[in-house]
Amino acid sequence: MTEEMKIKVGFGDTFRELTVRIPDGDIPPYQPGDPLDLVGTSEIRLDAVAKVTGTAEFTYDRQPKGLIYGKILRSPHANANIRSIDVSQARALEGVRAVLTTPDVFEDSTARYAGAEIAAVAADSEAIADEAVRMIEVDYEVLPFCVTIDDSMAEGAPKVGRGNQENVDRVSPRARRRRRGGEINADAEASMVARMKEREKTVDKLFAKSKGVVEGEFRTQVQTHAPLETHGVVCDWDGKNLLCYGSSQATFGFKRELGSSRGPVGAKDVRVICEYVGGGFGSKFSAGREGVLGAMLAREAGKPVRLMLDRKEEQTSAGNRPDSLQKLKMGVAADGTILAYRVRSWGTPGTGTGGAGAHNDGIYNLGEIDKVEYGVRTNCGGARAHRAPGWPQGVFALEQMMDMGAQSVGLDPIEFRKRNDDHPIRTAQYDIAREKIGWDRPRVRGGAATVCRGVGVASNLWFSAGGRGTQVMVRVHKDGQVEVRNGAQDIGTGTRTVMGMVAAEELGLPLARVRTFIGDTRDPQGPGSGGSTTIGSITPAARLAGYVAKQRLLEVVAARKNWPIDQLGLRRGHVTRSGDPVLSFDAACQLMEEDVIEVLESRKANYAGFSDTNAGVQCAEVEVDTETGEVRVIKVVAVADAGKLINPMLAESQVRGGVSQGVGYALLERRIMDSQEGRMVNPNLEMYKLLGAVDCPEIEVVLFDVYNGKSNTSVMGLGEPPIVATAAAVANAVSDAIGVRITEIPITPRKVLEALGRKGSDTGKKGE
Amino acid sequence: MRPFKIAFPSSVDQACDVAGDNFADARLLAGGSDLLTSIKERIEVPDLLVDLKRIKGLDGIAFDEKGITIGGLCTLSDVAAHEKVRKHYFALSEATEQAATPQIRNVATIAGNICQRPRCWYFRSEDYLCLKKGGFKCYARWGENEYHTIFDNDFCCAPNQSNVAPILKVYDGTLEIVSTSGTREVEIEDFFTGPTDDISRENILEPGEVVTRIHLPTPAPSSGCAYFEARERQSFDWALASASVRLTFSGKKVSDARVVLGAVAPVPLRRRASEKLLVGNTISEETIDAACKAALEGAILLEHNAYKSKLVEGLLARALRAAAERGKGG
Repeated sequence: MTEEMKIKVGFGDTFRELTVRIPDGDIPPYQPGDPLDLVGTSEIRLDAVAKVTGTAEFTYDRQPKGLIYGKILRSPHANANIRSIDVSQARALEGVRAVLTTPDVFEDSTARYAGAEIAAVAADSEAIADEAVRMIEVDYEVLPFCVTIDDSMAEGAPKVGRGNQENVDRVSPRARRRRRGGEINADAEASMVARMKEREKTVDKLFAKSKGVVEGEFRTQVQTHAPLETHGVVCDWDGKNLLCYGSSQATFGFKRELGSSRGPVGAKDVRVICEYVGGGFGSKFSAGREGVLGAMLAREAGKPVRLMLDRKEEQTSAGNRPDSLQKLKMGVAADGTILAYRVRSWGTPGTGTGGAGAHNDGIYNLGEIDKVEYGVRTNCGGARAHRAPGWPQGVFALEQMMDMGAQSVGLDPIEFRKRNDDHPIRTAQYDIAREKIGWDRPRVRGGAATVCRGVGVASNLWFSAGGRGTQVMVRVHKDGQVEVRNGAQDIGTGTRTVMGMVAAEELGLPLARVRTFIGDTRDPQGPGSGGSTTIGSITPAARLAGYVAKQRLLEVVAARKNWPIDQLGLRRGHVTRSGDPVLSFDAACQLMEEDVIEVLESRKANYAGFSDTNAGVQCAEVEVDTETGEVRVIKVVAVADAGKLINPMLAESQVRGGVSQGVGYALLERRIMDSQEGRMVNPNLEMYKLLGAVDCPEIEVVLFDVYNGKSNTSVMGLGEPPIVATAAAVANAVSDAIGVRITEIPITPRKVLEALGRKGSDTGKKGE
Repeated sequence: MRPFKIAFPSSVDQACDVAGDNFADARLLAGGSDLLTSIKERIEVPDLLVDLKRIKGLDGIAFDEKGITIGGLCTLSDVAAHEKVRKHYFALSEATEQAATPQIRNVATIAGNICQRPRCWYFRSEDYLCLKKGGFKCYARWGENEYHTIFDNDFCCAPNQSNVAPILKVYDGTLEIVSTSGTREVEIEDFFTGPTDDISRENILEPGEVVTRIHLPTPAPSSGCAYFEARERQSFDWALASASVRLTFSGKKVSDARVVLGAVAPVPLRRRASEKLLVGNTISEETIDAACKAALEGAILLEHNAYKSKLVEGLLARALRAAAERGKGG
């Protein structure tokens, strides 16, 4: 049963009442003016000292007794079939304990990109393992390949797929398919094509009516995740039970995968431990082939095995953000209203065609939309979810179209956006961003000067209230110790800290008084860290568990002291009676008859809430050297909304991280494939260029504290949204600075010089 | 990485001895920032490393009226920060402190910087047997060549990426090279070799020879030097191109000039045609323009690196303006 009640929602000093149905057993959300001691303060993250002093144990640091080392042999060919593999020499090498092959383990005799797994060995030392994989002889049937979107889309291109798979597949809209074999139903396809034609006509009519019509073609690159800690596992068997230390952003996902009776590992019982992980960014949901091979090598060798990827493997084979080619058209009415919008976009998620979508039709009211999207197969390492999958690439194109649309009807870019935006939070963010970046300050623009400056704007949107499927345990011990437990991992967002904070708040304790346990699947179930929902999923359960534990403790106190329970509370380390401290927390615990109060609470369903989405606006200021083509991002203003702020410092850190990665995406990062052999030529951190300290702009973060009311903590996650708008804002700023639009990232000196070379004598849109 | 032996000679003679006897599979080790990455990628598979760092007397900087002498083991940080370098060879300081990262500059040596192998992702990858490594093809010539050379790139497109070498050329530097057969002085101008000389090497060093010292003469009082480079990333990146210039003035007119380009050729590339145009003229936008055009004579632009010609023009113009200003000011 649910309870109907009125709550206040909103932000700043404007709140309104909302009637919501609170699920049975849940507590109402934080309300404006609630007396909170911990929530909303910038507590230093609980693992800060362990991380900066090197005492935090990452997967790589785990050294079970008798540890040996795994190594994977990878295909040097971009497209090949494996005829045979001879492992006899490797097996005979002294110190080699186990050898496995991909055809045996995965029943896959293909190598469809350079870097595909072929075989794996485990040996007493890394050097022996390295020698051993070099002794494996593979007979390949080498096939022609495509490694770029253009090659793959070209007439007569070699076929990447197997059987009758085409290189280019329409992935949206899509006719319903028959169940068996995935063959397209011809009738359904014909009617879909007819509907698409209809839509095209509708949108064409609106273009004809528009005052301004703009068109653009945009490209984004493949970006690898490049986490500091590479993928991999340390696996240790006890009979049929597996203990897996995994570099993971989904401990329970790893557990399911390695324990599945249908999978090649099929462990009877799996325990996954991941107390610390050095970054995932979306690429560590699955144990992957490396995790499976690590577990199976350990079983075959009868010894614990460490199988961690090296940097090269990480770059070629551990996931990426797909590239995109986006052709867009926008029609704008004289008053600045967008009437119609057309999208044709392509992207390469690897050898398949799913998951390369670009979110280039969101955020704003774009009128009638005609969108068709294609997946393109290439012989490259497969894509994995990457911090806001599909969004940075889509928004990069969309936001440039917004600037072009504004220009077509003579409107200021920010005014134009406001005219086509009705988000209740974002509409309050534009002017703050405008003021903080100094949007209206005079600048040297146009490219006539050697060094020009410009500003750009872009927005973001996210959906991270979290949801059900998470439980948190709180234990209060008779000796006064408090534990808060959840088995999910903390990929760097501060999950451990905020989980502790909301539970400690209920128990009236300082954060240091609770012990937090995360990253162990023996503890209660937690979410995979995807969609920025970890905090939104865990904190309501943690708060509820803390609240229930408090009630149980107060019941003990009330009974033993004979105090009316409705007068009692917990605050600042004491039991309070009518607001006054009357008993220390420890003394209260001493009154317990049993050793421990143990509470396990579930995350309840979301309520209606103030907004289903969280919003953001970013403005960037750049400096472009027109003689060298060098672009420096001087400053980024990031206005962000994370629902109710539990810990502003941690929230701000997420924004800084997202913006930094976004600037790297805008200026530096890209996977470069060799057209001759189909291999990645920059599978390292020397030539795959991540943003460095000197390149990092000043980042001014403005956080909105929004009483969203979607759960009892009102939290919206903030891991992904801050990366969405950055590259777009930078690109718009570059265009403002030099008066010519660069439609492809990364914006390198080469692209700037080429663009300036193409440019005539026209000057920037705003002038000085 | 394959296991190797390592020797710690305490004198140059000892080092030459060891390296000379075991030349085929021995490599000299100083800072190691270049060599160790090559060993890890199996581009170099030495049996023996000869570690020079315990040799005394090669890490000092001496200055007198004839010029400055820099020990081969001086780190880039030592050189960049040295008071006399900053005062009399400021462009050397400029070039040195733009190399790599603070961590690398603290270990990388100046002799090692000059002797570093070229930068090309095909050459530096174990997966490619390119012409330079005894194969039959330059993969960069028809492949991914955005960062590659625009001069002398018929056989090999790997650029020399030393920040220091172009500046040493600009200052008319000489190298002291020691081997078991004695000591020889070599002008830096004669030190580097191109792919048409011998594709497997980049300089004249023979087995068992060690670069022990670098000498730069005192620049004329009325001269100015400048170093400019462009790169994609400001923290740790290789230059896309660089321009080093020294201009000596007699009144308003240039009496002597050095123009050297970096990262666009297999060697630090002296541009004599530009120098010739500058000598006898004043520095104006016209002479700068002419010198830049002359500097690009003979350039062969590849599919992805045509932008480097524009970049060279921009950098060289900037270096010429700065050197002119400094020359007349001093």
